[in-house]
Amino acid sequence: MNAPGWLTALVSTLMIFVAGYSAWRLAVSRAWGRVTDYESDVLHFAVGIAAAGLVASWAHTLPRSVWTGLFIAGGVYFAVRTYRGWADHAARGKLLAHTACCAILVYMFLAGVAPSTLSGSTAGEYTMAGMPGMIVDQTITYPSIGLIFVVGLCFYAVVVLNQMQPPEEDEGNSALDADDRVTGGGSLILAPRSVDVCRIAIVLVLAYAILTKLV
Amino acid sequence: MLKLQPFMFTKDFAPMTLGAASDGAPFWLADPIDWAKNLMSGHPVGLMIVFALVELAIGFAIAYRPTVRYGLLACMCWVPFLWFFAEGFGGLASTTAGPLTGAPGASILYGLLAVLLWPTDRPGGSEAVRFVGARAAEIGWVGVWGLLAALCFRPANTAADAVSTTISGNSTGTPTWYTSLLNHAADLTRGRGAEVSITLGVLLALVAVSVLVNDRRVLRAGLVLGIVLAALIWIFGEGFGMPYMGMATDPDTGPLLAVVAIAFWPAAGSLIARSSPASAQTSASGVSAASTSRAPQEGSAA
Repeated sequence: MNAPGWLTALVSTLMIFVAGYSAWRLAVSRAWGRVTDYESDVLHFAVGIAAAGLVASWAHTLPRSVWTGLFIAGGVYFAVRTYRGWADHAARGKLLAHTACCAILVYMFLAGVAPSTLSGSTAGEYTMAGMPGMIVDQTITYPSIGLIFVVGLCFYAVVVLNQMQPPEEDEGNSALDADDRVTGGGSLILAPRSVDVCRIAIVLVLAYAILTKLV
Repeated sequence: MLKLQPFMFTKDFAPMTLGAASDGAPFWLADPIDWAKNLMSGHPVGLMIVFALVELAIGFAIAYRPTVRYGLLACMCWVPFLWFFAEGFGGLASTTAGPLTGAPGASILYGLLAVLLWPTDRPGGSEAVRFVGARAAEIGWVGVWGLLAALCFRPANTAADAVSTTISGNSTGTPTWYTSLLNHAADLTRGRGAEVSITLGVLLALVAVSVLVNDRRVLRAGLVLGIVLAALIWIFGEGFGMPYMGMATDPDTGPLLAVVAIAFWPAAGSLIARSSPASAQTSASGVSAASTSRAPQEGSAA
């Protein structure tokens, strides 16, 4: 079975937008004298491009082996950073999440999460699901691990959303732009809430990509 | 998220999912479900997108703190429709309803949790009693677990192969390790449906009455037993909600029963959910019944 074409196109476009926005943050933050989390932005850029290709074939970019290698390297980097910075409680959770994100991407590329192999969508059609001769897509390997990752991703999205502060509750920055916060060094952070929104979009799309291959 | 899977947009979804909800249902329930099934079959893509967006919006609203009340309210409005049209009252109107087959339905448990976990500043011995009070929370608890216990004693569930048939029915499309586990469990329970169902019913009844006993240890034992039984129901009776073929619309009742039990877990230094006559009086004066009955609880524990 295959999801509606417009839905996969929409999801892929969203991921490309996230990647573009992250690249834009990297480009303008210094010029604007704002602080940004380079690690998060680089990761979101890479995951956005990779995830778009996992959902729609027209967004395919690098070979799967290259992406796998990139995310293995990224996972090792973030794992080492987590180990070295374990005492820093503020950064530890974020680095652990980055490590887990890389691990999930590696799983997705190795387990066969990919755009549908069927030509055309089965949306609105009879597929005789559960019957001999039914129209089924290629499924993933190790689906139980995939389901555990889906639960973890959804849980993480809920945690990030739950921790997001509404604009009026930003502490002591009423005169500043609603989406700006100040670092310990007094520098303005570039739109930190939008990074959380990108993070939520990414984890939900990764969960969606895994679920669409459980057939 | 599950409702965005490719199968949900096909014309097979309505007959296979809603059709199952009307199996064995009386006409007053089956006829509206059949109407909904025909409607879904005619517009599988448009309607499923609406359903998925509504449920995503409810989830986002509940997770985002400023909108949590709106989300819970929307959940309370949404679940009755699901419970009726998609679950056929969790199968309660049929003769085969049982805890292993998803009764009383996941939707009604979502609604119950939305009420129990409504955000409030009131004090209470557990999360579940803070908004509705100890007495109402007790009624909800005994109602859910007592109903599950009672269903175990129905003839359809005490038949010789009732349990083994339910367990083996979950193995379609599952990974090898899970198929093997289910097959072993089905072999063990084959011909022993009455023994398994009656044992399960007695254990569920113990869970139901555990909140009525005025002892913190009994309450905790009951909650732990409830969580264990919910896990067993989920693994063997419901097949994790059967997600492996891309046709699951929800995780089923097992995880929700466990969450209900966790909601009743007594807070540190607090008490059992049960209210005493004295606490009922203070409850009327605006103080939580649960928090005021703390003293006798702690006294009995000592």
